[in-house]
Amino acid sequence: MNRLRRLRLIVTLRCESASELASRQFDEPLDLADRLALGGHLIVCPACRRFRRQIQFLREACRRRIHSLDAIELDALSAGARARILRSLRDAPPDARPDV
Amino acid sequence: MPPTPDRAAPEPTDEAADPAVWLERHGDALYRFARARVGRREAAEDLVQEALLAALRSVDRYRGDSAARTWLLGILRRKIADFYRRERAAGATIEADLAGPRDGGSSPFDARGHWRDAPAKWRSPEAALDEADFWRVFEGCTSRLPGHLARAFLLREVEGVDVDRLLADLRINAGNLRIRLHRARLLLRACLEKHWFDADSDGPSRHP
Repeated sequence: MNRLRRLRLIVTLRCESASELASRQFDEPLDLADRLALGGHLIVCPACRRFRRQIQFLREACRRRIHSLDAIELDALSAGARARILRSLRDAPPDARPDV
Repeated sequence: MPPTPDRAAPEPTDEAADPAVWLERHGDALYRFARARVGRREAAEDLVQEALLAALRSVDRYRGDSAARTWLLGILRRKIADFYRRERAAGATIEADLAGPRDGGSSPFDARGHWRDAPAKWRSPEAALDEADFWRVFEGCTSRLPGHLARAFLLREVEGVDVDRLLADLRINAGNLRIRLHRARLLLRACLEKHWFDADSDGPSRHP
């Protein structure tokens, strides 16, 4: 019975659900039926295999992102924002300074 | 612009006491820290401003026993947490979540759940990580994610926050979080493919 359900899941799983399971697997463990269904789908579906590889890449990119931003100075406060912040610091009421 | 006299720091050489120096030395680092977490330029700028103002108010607490940047980043972290709370209170778009990938014509799947535009083969993705232009595209793509998706995705992937804490922090249910993460990954993947990997592949590499 259980086996039948698994088989059904594997056979009927569409890419939309498969990609959802693939995504979920990056965040939490899947139960056995979902694992089998996903595994079965991935065997026959190159597009979903690529999707899984690519979101793995997204994870690696995110982990290296802050470091990379620092390294190449890609992102900095704009001159406008800098001036605005400086003004707000100058304009802060003096009596507000020593509080807290 | 020199410091105004009435607001001159007690010791002008003391970095901790002069907000203009904080801004000059740490502004970009604070901005990048915030930007990596909230995804949007304007929000990140506002957070840096809030954090520096808060630092100014509590400058007496700064004892110089930690680096000024560490101290400022601690304040910024709290401001970012407040920001998430405010967004939540403002009723972040739950409907958009529920609509999921089927909202509008942007879904990567057709009505039967098959890929509309199947993921293409990416050529040497690892090499992209070393290219400054790739990071510009990556920034562009993440900053165009809808705010509620960007927040969940960046907390998960940049901060490495686990699912239980995400559920508590974002106050959404597990199904909703899965949808957000899945949707964010679909959108980001498609955006990178369109703006980086596709333009990059002038050869036959799209056909594995």
